[in-house]
Amino acid sequence: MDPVDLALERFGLGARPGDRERMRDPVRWLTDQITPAAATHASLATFGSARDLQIAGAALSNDDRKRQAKTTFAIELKARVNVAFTTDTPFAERWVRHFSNHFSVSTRRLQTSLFVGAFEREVARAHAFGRFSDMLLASTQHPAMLAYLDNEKSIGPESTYAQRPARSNRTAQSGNVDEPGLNENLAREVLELHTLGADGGYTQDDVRALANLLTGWGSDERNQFGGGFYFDDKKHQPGSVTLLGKRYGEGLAEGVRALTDLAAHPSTARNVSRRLAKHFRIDHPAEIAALEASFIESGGRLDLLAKLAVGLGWSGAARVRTPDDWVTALVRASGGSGAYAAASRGSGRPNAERRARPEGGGRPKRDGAMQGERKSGGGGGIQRDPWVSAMRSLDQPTWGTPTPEGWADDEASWTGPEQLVRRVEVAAELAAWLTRSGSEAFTNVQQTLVPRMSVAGRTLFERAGDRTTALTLAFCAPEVLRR
Amino acid sequence: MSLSRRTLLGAGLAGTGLVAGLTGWRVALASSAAARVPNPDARFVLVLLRGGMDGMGALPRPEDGAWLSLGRSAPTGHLPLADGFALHPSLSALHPWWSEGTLAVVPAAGQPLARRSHFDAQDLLEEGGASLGAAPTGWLHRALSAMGAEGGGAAIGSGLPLVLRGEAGGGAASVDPSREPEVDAATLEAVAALWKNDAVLSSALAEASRARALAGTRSAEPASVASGQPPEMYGEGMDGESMGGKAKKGQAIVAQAEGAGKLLASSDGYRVAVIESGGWDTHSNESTQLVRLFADLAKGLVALREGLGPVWENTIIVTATEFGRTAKPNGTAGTDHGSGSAMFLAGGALRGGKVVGDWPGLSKLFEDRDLNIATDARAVFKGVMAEHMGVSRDQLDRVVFPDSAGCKGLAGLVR
Repeated sequence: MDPVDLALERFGLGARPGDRERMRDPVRWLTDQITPAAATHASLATFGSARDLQIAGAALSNDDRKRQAKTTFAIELKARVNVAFTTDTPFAERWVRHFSNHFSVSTRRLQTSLFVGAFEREVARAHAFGRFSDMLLASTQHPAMLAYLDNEKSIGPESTYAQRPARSNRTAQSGNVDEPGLNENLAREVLELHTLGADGGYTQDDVRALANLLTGWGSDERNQFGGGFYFDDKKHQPGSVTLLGKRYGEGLAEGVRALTDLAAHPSTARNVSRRLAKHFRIDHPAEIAALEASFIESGGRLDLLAKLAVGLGWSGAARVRTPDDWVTALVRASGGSGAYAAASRGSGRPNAERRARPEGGGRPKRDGAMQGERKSGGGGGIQRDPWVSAMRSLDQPTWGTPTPEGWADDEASWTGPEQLVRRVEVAAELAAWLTRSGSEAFTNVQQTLVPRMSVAGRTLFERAGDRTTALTLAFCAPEVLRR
Repeated sequence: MSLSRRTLLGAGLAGTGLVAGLTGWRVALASSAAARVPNPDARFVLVLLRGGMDGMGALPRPEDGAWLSLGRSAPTGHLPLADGFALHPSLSALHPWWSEGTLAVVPAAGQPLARRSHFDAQDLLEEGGASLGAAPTGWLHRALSAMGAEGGGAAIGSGLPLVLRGEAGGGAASVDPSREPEVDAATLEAVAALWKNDAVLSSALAEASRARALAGTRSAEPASVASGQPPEMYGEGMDGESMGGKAKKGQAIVAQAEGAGKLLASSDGYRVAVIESGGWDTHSNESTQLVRLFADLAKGLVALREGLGPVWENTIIVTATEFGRTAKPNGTAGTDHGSGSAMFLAGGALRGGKVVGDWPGLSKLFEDRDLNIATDARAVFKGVMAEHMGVSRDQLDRVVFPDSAGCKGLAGLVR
């Protein structure tokens, strides 16, 4: 790939018609995007914060709260996808999405679904080009993360809350009064994924220590104190702990101090750099070491890290794009959200609906979940959204990572036989819509994708029997599947 | 993917697969130092339970004072096994298998290294090493290579688990034979031509076709089984589920198990299949979740048996999980990451109806919290690989499970 292609495809989200022709200086184009404004994206400015959502939700019944979550999620998802299709600052957007993935929260829990969009904005976007320690703190104090990793329920064994006799009703359920309520999930993932990394040199004792420090970190679900992050000292474990050889006392400030220290740990620099390098195909050990050094020397400045990263990875091997990445690039190449909107207005999509069917072959479930799905208003339409059904089919439901580890950046995870068959399905379906909608897509693709295909691929494209097949081939070209 | 595998593929597609399959076995025999004649019809299914399955929940000990004093209670309707163990009522569909000798349990199995991180522990389980990162490939892939049957493994679903991964990410195939492609044959052919010179893409596509051909799939109700637990936002209705490692939804296991069975039942097909099931990370509300999880597991194994048909007689199934859970419940009616857990063995080729391995008792807990490990999971795998699949002990000790000479394969598991 030449530098212009690399900038547009590897660092950006895919060239739109005319992007290539307009490009003067690829590195300059990238560094110009390293600004807070580019990361926060104007079109999302009107969205509420997690706090706002909590305040609104606190007044609702359980059912209404579920509806709130579904509606909010659907709107947030569409906005995010739209940003990806249309943004003029795709490198900033990719950078944001990478860190969103680094601190992955998932829609596994309904409570989390309400907040995933807000989480991305308040954690990844707000601090994308700031300091990593600020991003870490924002993440660890965010209602989405606290719900996702069960910290809401974590109670210090000697906390006030644990001592109260009324509470023993809850613990009696588990039958265990010896250890009322410490939950290590958040602490573990902070150490294993967000900061030090699995081989970063922490022990089970450290997990436990951090878990104790984080007791009481919750959110004001019922809006008793204005919503948002709320430190409940009644749940907090008293006393001091030792974490990675350092002593920390009790209280919120000590927990914050612990996170700051974790962010500054050399293993964190290594972990963050490695994950970043994988995403941007920065393979050379010396280049990865440079990222690490920058992180350590600057105290975790992500803007400096980004400036360094755009100078690296130009010779890294291309790898298959994740489904989200790939479909985004296809839509951009075809002409952006206009083409997509036109295409998705197309006639009945039985395939999309079939794919959107829940698992188990669509057999009606006894618990009524399936009935509920069809009848639900508000966010109910999301199952029919072509993006949603494509991403489900391709194993990458947006904001729905199966684990806190986030989406993988290696090729093997996305190139199983079944997965590739489904890519062809999605490509064919997208091609069909675009053809049916009579949009400029075909001309655009001839300009954006075809020139990057191999000679043999181009020949197949030209010889294809019809436009739909030709487009499908362009979408599936190895040079387009990879970045 | 290696050249020898492409050769296998080619042979399969040409329809002379049966001979090629047997030849593969004979080649393995000839080249290895094995003394034992492998069963060329042997099938093996590994069921990975991701998230840390609570073995003590699966096999309650209702008469054991020590067990009860932990704060656990045996669920009503549990069924008796042996040696004080009972079977969780949601697994009742498997109880007849115990009686007929096609089910066995290992009550305190685990891994050589204590890792309480899902991803680490799963990787360790799938790499098969004595330490993490000992091998970049999966032990089951290496076992297949040792048998000269590299093309013989299939991961059911989309996405290849580490246990079946070979070098450079190649190895076995992730296939979903329960599902027809939703694109016409002409387009698939055109894409195949486009991918002709790309090794990764072309071999993957060929493999998908082969699997469907072998399973003879034309399901009346195409099951669109997306892997990865679909989040509730996307229309599924499962509240408060914990995530469980690299997970696949519990209910998907039924469709996938049937597909796996059919695939293995074909005489020219795969010899080994891996099914994944997720959601086992029961940090809270465990008893409710286990009811559903065990029910799905039982349904899956029953569907697998049905799909296998007569080949069941030549099959051994093993369930494995990355770690067990804390012996005592936590403060949220669940359990946290532990050590010893249970493994289930099943299949017509199994000498079952027994408890395998020791029960370490509960008077001493590992690190004061977990069930101790009495049986190394690798010993179970080795026993099956050696006696059922015919992999040589030398290969097992050095290659399949590196540095594991000190871990003896369990004997007497196979009829």
